[in-house]
Amino acid sequence: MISFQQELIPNSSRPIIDDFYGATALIDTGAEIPVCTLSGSVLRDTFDAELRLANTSITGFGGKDYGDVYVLKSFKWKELEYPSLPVFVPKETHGLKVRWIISASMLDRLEYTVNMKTLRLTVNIPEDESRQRRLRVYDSKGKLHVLCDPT
Amino acid sequence: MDPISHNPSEKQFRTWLHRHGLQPEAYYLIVGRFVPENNFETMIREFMRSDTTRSLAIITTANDSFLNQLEEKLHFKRDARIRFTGTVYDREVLHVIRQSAFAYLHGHEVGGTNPSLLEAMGSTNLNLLLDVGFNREVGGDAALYWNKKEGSLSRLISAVEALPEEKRLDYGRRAKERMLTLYSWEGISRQYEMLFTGGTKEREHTVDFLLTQNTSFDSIKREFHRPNYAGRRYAVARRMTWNEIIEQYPHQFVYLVDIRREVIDGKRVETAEVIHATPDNDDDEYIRRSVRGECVERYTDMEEIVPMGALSL
Repeated sequence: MISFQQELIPNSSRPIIDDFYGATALIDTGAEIPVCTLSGSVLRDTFDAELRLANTSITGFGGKDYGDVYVLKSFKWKELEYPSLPVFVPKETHGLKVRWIISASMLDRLEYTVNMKTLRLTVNIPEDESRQRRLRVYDSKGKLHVLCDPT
Repeated sequence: MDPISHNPSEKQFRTWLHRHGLQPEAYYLIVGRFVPENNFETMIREFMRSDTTRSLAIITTANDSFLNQLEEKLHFKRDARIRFTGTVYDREVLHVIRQSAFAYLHGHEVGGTNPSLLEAMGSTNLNLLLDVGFNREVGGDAALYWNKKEGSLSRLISAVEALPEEKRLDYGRRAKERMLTLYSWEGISRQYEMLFTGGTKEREHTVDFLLTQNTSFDSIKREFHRPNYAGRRYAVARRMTWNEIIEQYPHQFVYLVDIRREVIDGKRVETAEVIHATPDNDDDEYIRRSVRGECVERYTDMEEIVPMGALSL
């Protein structure tokens, strides 16, 4: 089984990866859509991103948020590869100080453990799962979803 | 179709496994020139003594006379676990082979710091090294050691077979961390800097230059002392604990280099050097540098890092 680990930052009760593309990333098992607060130009220059949906909205626990959906081509996270990773880039960050939110859809059908004692995230890729994770944007009756397709 | 097969390295790796009857995580690995001083005889003999059900994959150059000598002494061809696989020159494929090995055996006893060992430490979880000074200098406590005495390596193989998976992964994590800390361009340049300045001068170093150049000691030294040095210089920085950083740069984004982690009294303590700090989160120059892996961005107030209003995201 292929596995990898990531260190979590100390002094926080939330699981936050300390170095995810040079920034912090919150692991949010309640989130369906990956979120990134990098600007469109940084995303285009450094992740070969393309704008998929401009000025769209997503809903969540606290209400509705507006922003753009970019698709990052050939995004890699340690052993995992996302051939086209959709990310929501909010117009208003509401004071969020992490650059990324890693959504449940990014880890769908994988084994993962968050150990807040040792401050470590462990991700195992089961034998019957591919290292390539295919996330797709679905627009169902005006409601945006990002789901992991079976591969 | 298996989606992994789209990746050429993965595809070649699978072909390599199939050709040699191997399975991922079910083989020990040796990579090195096929010469006596790399202690193939000891490693193969000890592997044959061990009762592991895993295979031994040997990636090496051709040397028929040495091969015949070994066969005469050891009769390794009778042991179906031992597979000579020839050479692999594709770095990507070799990297995947290393990553998927259960453990790497390293028997080099001459030649100093060995590039193959650095690559193994950076990719294979478990590294079993011949206990000589320069191997121990590279491996530290992130590797396990054997000597040439009868039974030493075979006992170590039995011991690692019983190692819990979590422990094996922990060795791998520490080995990779060790390579990043001590054998990255950043780490090497720091050592050069200490050498040039006698360890007394504050940092104003040439990491950008060193990161982008594959250059010699003399040219680095010349560049470092050039009065009108044109490369980017980091601000003078001193090493601080995370608590000191929070105190000095409250409610700010800080950009850190050379983060070190150590566990004291069961608690993880981090130290780092701050090269830039700003209350705004839109400093594109440093954001781009952090994405490129030149520094790491963090916010210093843990209470504010994910405010309640942001949960709607």
